[in-house]
Amino acid sequence: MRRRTRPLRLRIVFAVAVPIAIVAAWQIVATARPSLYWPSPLMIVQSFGRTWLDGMIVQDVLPSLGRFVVGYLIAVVVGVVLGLLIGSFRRLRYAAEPVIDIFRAVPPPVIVPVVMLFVGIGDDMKIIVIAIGSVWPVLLNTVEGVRGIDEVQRSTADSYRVSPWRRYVRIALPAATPQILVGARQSLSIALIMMVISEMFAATNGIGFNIVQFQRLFALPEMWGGIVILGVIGVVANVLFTFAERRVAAWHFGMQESR
Amino acid sequence: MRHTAKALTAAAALVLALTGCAGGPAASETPATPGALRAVNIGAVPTVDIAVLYLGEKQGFFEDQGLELDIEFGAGGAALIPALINGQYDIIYSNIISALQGVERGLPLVVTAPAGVASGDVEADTAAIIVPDDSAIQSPKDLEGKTVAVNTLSNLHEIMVREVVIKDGGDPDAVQFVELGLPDMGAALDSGQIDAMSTSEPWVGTWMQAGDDRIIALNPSEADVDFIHSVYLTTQEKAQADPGLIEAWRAALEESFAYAMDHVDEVKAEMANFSDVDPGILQQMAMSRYTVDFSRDDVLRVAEMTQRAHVLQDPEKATDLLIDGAAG
Amino acid sequence: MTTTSASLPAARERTRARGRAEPFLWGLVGVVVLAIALQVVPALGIVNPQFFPPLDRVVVAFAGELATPAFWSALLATLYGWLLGLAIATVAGVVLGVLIAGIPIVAELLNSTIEFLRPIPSVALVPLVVLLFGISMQATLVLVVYASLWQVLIQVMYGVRAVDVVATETARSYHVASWRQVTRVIWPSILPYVFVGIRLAATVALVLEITGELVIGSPGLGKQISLAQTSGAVDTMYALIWVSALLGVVVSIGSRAAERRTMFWHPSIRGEV
Repeated sequence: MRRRTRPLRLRIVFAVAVPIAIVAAWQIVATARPSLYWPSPLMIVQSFGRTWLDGMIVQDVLPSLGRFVVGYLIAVVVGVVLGLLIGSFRRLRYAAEPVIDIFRAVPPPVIVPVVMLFVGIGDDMKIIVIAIGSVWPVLLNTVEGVRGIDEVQRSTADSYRVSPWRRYVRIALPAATPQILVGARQSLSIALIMMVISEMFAATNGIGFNIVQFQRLFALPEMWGGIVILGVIGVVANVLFTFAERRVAAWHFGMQESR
Repeated sequence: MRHTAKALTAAAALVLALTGCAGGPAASETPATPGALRAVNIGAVPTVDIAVLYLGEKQGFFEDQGLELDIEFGAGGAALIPALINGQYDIIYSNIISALQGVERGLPLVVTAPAGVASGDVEADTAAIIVPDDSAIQSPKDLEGKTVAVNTLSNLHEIMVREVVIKDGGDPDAVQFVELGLPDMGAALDSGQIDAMSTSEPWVGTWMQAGDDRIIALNPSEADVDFIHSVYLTTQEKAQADPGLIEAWRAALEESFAYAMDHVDEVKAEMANFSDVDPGILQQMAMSRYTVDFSRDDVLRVAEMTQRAHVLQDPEKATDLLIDGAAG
Repeated sequence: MTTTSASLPAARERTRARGRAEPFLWGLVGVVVLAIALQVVPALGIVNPQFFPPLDRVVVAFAGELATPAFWSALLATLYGWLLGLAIATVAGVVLGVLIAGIPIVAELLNSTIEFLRPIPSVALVPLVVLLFGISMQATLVLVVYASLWQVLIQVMYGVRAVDVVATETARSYHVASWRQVTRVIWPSILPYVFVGIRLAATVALVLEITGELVIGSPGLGKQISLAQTSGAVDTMYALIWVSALLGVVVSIGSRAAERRTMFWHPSIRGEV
């Protein structure tokens, strides 16, 4: 059965219908039976003006986002570089895989006190925690991607004594790109989680930090506001990633064609 | 394929049944047999103040009142309070700041008795502001512009430090507070990441043992000689529904406190049972003052300090809410 | 390499055996190198051994833990929470997935909601969950289920969409009742996707279980790690960290192996890491 594509207006209605219904229902229930833990959406929005939008954007949201982006980019770069190396040498891959599996399975909050011992309590610690936590999907998927490279390509490169630079950047990297992108998307969600976790300990600012502080002070509407902000960031990050993915895919296909 | 599906469905049904058994919070109930001891669920933190309870129980003070204590350790005031409201505990040990903040937000908390009060002696008390020996910081006023580590922001230690800075003529808002776990403070101080720490026993003893640190203030006595730092809380509902329990609890506490004040070594010995602290440190440890008596004024003063720290709006209202219904 | 036609199968078998042994041997080399590094780096003082003890002290602490009943009950608590959460997430994910993806209108309506809720990191819900459930196994359970549900749900929805359209049409044209359609046609077709979802959810569930125990304080390995940390028992803390990591590795390998055995033909076995 062929799907008729719906007109844009209808698509928008469909997209917002359920969320609006949920918010409306929540508002009605919360007004009828006020609960400390489930403040009404109106209260949450009002608290936004008092707190999150009153200087906190600059003080907390921007630093959080900054650390998130930097940590994520470090994870991607390190993951791709290491992945290219490890994936290209069979024996190195065999040796590295169990070690990677072990490190990857360390529970994220545990990384924080350990990194704190080495780097202290500043932004460095948070960025490193984010990077260490989120590098694994990119790393593993890069290794997988390099593994799958066409044998013909590889032996051709061998017999023509292609330089390492060409071998990795011109051949391996583009070929592995689709798989790398899969890993990079997984790493994105993990980086967001690590950002929150890194701010729950020894922090002085940040979204995660404030969510915890609001909870301690029993400031529920403000706390919910933080959760909403995190949801928005997650959605936006994923949308931006999809855009970036399409650009990279275009470049990738360009590289493949030009050979 | 078919039998796999059936097996999976059966397993799923079994698991759903198990979920039902995972159950909700356990509420305490009066025992069926009269004359049997009434179990009291207590949520607490492994500090020396709880050793007083254990000691009192050993001496039979709680049994005399028909009570049997069931003490469980949790992560701290802000975490135990929701558990109390959930019905998981009958009474919890909490720092007074979280209690004040909670009632201001509408949580139905009520003080049954103080759990620990300032020793009254500025030379010997349970909390201290510690700096490295070679630090330029000589008195609380010097903390302006410096970084001080506390184990929970906007809470007891931050408020005590702010008070002593004010008393020393400084501006508490100029002090940078950062939150660190208790065991992490020593390394941070040594490496210069923080300029000072405010911590409680037995950590004070632990860090001072290394020998290269110095104390610049002893709390809470220096902040307020009659500072009630911790309280035993229950819900308004429970206090109204079961005043007999609260009466019995306070009576047993009174005896336990009196005994503890006279037998400090036994309290410390009791603490060794649930804590891994080095006995040498335990021995040197200063102690709080224990009393069931408290006045509205005592609580109000703490509330006002909390307001000065910008983390409480209405001290009068919070104080009234907190002690309303208390048998004190 | 020249071989006579008579010995070719034997040579091939030898190569295959060597091929099976080689990854294992090199993997062992990797782990040994790691172990040596973990011993030598702190022992030489490159990092402060007070905060990152050498491997031998950690191993001793580990042996000590094995003898402690508290360790075993913590391990059981972690496993229980993990399995329970995974099971609930699986059942809920399958039911919701079939309902949502099976009825096209519902899928379109709920799409935006799912895409908004999915990226919310479950750890952000920790403060909320502590307020609602206190420090209990249920609090962590909510976290585990929330995070793992998406893995199963998404996979099941893929599966439902991919269900053999011809089969459903045939069933419909023969007026087979909907319930039978579900059990006889849809369920077997989506089973491979369910298994993929379970595999992905298994790792996520374990990580969240231990994270919840650490941050919230519910009983389990995570809580033991936190206790060890606050009492300054650094050796024990690292021993427990490695136990959690090894547990994660076992779960990951185990679920992959189980899935491979049942679903060896499914493309995602080769695709996802």
